[in-house]
Amino acid sequence: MLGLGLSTGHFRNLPHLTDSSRVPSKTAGNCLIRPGLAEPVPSLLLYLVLPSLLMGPSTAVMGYSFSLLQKGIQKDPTASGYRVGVFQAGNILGCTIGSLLCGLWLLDDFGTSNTLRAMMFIGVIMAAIGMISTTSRIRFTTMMIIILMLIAFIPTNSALWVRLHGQSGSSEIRIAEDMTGISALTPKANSQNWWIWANGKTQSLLPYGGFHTKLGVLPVTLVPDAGSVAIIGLGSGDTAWAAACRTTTKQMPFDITALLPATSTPLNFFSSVGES
Amino acid sequence: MCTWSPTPTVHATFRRAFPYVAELEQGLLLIGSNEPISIDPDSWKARIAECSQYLGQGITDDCSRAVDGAQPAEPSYPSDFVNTDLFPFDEFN
Repeated sequence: MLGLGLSTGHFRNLPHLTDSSRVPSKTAGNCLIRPGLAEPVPSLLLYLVLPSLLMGPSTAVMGYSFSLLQKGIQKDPTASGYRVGVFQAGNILGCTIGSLLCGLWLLDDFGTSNTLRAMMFIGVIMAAIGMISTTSRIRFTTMMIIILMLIAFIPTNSALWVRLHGQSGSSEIRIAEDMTGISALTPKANSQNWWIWANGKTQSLLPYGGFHTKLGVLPVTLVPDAGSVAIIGLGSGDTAWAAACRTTTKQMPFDITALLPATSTPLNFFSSVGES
Repeated sequence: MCTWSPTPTVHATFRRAFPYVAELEQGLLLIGSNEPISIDPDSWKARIAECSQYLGQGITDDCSRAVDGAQPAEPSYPSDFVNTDLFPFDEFN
C-alpha cells in the first residue's frame, strides 16, 4: 500500500507536454515522444528510469512482504505445509477477485483514481485488524495514518489523467475512461484543431482530414460498387466518417467496431457545443 | 480490406494474407483483395470527386493526390518476417 502511494506520488512530477514537444510520426498520428528521445540516454530515462520510479517502490514492497509472510507462516514445521497452501490459495483468490472487481466494475464506475484509493483503503483495514488483534498498536496506528495521508495525496481522476496526458491543470481537456481504456480530447496549440487521444497516444485530429480519413475514403472509392463497409478502429470516428462519403450517392451497409468505446464520450462535447 | 501499414512487418504480413495488394502513400496504406485489383487512377479520382461536397475540397484533393501514387505491391516472399498470433512481434516492439 505504501509503495502504491509513493508510486502514485510520482505522477505529480511528470513533465508537461506541449504541441511543440510532440514530434510527428511518419504515419497516422503523432507520437508522444519529445525531441531527442530517439537518442540512447533519453530513451533510457523514458523506458528504464521512469518505469522504475513508478513501479519500483511498489514492487520492492510487495517482494519484501512475501518474505515476511513466509517467515510468519513457517514457524511450526508440522503445520507449515498447510499454512503455505492456505497462503497461496488466498493469494491466488485475491488476485483473481481483485482483477475482476477492478476490470469489470471499479474502473468503469469509479475511475482509476478512486480505484487506487479503494485498493489503498484495504491497507487501512489491515492496519485496523493489526491494531485490534496484536499488541503493536502504535506501529499499526502509525501505518494507518501514513496510508490515510497517502490516500489523500492521490490526485483526483481528472487531475491524474490530465497530467498523464502531458497537459497542465489549466488545459481545456476532456477525458473519459471505462474498462476498455482511456481517451481524451485536448486542444492543439495555436490552432482550432483538437487532438484525439486513445490510451495515452494521439491518434487523430479534429476536424478530420488526416491519414485516417484517407483510410476511409480510398478503399470505398476504389471500385464502382463497394458493397458494404466494416470498420475496426479505436472509435474516433474519423475513418467511419470518411468511409461514409459515398453514402451520398449510394446505399451502403455499415458495420463499425470500436475497440475503445470511451472515445465517443469526449466527442460528445462537440455535439453539445453544436446544440448550444 | 484496407489498413495502415506502419511497419515492414505489417506490410509483409498483409501481403502474405492477401494475394492481391495495392499500396499507396509510399506503402503506408494498403488495400488487399482476393481478386486482382484494377488500378485506374482517372476513374478512382472521378469517384472521389463525386464526394467532394461531403469531404470538402481539401480532403478531396489530398485523396486524389494519394491515388496518383497507387501501385501493385510486390508479392510476399517466404523469407519475409511476418506478425503472427504466436509471434506478435509488432505488439512488443
